[in-house]
Amino acid sequence: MKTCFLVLCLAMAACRPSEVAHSDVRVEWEIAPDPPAAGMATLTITLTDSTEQRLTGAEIEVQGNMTHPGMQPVITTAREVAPGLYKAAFDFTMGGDWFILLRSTLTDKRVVESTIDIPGVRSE
Amino acid sequence: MDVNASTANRSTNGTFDLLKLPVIGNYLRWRYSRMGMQLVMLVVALIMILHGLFGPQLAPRNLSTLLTWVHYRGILVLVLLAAGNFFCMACPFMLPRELARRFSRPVQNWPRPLRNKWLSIALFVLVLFAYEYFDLWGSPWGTAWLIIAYFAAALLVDAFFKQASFCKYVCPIGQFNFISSTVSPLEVKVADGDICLNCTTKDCIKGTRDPEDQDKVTQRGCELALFQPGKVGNMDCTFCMDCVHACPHDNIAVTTRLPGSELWADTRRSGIGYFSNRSDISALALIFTFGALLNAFGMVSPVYAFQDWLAGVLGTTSEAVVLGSLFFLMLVVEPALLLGTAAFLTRAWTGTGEKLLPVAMRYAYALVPFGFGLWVAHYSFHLLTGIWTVIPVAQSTLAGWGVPLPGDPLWRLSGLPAGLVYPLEMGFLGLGLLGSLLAAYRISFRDYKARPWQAFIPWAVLCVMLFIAAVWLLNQPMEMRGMFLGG
Ligand code: SF4
Ligand code: SF4
Ligand SMILES: [Cu+2]
Repeated sequence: MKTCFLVLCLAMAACRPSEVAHSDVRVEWEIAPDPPAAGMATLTITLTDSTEQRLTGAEIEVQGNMTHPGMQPVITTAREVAPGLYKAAFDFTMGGDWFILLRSTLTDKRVVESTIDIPGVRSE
Repeated sequence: MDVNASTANRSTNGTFDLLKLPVIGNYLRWRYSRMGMQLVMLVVALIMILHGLFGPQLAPRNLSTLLTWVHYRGILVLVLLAAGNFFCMACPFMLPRELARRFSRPVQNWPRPLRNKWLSIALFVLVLFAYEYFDLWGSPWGTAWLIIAYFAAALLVDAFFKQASFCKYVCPIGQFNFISSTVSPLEVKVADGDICLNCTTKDCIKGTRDPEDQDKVTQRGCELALFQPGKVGNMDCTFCMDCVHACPHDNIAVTTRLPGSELWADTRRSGIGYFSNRSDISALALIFTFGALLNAFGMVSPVYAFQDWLAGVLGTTSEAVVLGSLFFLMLVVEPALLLGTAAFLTRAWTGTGEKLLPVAMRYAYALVPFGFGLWVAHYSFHLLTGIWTVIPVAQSTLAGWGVPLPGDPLWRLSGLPAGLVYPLEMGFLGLGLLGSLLAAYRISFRDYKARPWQAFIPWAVLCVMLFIAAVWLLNQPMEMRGMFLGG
């Protein structure tokens, strides 16, 4: 049972699409380490349009929250490290279930919002 | 507001009376003071329900989860600690039932076998269980339905049954508030006992009748069956102020007392009887205390290791079974073992040869201050570290409803840093420990005059052990997650 779950997690971990408001923009992300533990992690994001073209020059705000209300959010921005490839250093300030809101403002001023669920961040 | 002619006779012997303070006192004596507070809370509750059902299903961004699990719980325990049971006073669940009672009066009395705390204890455990099982803290929708269920239950129970049956026999929050308020500093109490001796009408319990029509009650008396001259302490008192409005001699005060002193007072209490005979209230005290440990345990990292282990031992992957076993271990087995041992030692060292259960029942009350200290430490942590998060959530909610606001929501706002709140948490725990030690000491000197210290020591050790467990818990890394057996 447990191993099934692990295999499933690993299979899904490779490159996960997230829910997107604009259907023609695809937001994909990876987190390292995977699964993340409390402490620093790196979030890598790619934005692609419907023609599989990477979208460059976007501004991506990253806001992490615990699923428990009232906890301090973690707010940062992702930097474009290669064309259409964005990275953010993200500090999981404690263990637990997290979700990360991405707000990407494209060069044409369109805003794409997406939510990433990161459950079960270990506290050690 | 009627000012009674006998006000001048009233002697509170210089003791503090909240009702005599300029602004607050005038407000509380106003006949509609309670309804005023309830209306405010009703509006807040309705907003929470609507937002929970139709707003974003992200718990930190939804008013139902945020206000319930961070603000309401936190402010509730702090008000109980600093003042008294003002949340029962302002409870909005009572408003629909008040409205319903204008149209039809209930005729049934609450069934005799249920006139105790057992049902409400079961519901209290059920709410704690649902909180963990459904991860209610992370579910705006679930939290909204919990609030709706409360309104419905209060309305239903009090539509059929007379008096404040829901508050006294059903409401789990009520029981939490009642038992907590035994360590509150304020108490509704007769100002001058002599005036009651000469009182013929007893309006504080019977209600004030219309002089023209004796069947018509113009101001009801205590719906919780607490007759002022015999009332001891805060147990079962909702701070509704009905007695204050009803007493024709203006003889009821809201005074200060030594917090927790009622825990070792074994006198007959109106509407309650003797604490030492009330196994249900003893059980409530224990569920309250060990529930505090369980609730705090539920959000630190070792709980997951423990659940994994438990699942292995039981050979199951069912969350309900594992969580149920955890509840059974922490709310039944643990108290039974600990209190059984302490009672056994007390009996052995005092040589009384009495039964163990009554000993445990009498000392259960001594654990309440510690339990309360832990609830306060835990919930004040959430309140103080997250207090300002309500501002951006309110901003974004209003913006979502189309209210034009300047600027973006201030998502960076949160509250005090955890490091600053930590010493406070330890302070609350320490106060709780002191209170419990004092209560155990007083109970020992009350019941075991020949060998008080021998009686006291096992309970003192128990209190210190619980305190150490709580300190350990609050020092564990937090890990709030809903996922069960997550690898
Ligand atoms: S509190 Fe007031 S109504 Fe009640 S017995 Fe005393 S004097 Fe009478
Ligand atoms: S009427 Fe009863 S419940 Fe209300 S404040 Fe007076 S004693 Fe308390
Ligand atoms: Cu908590």
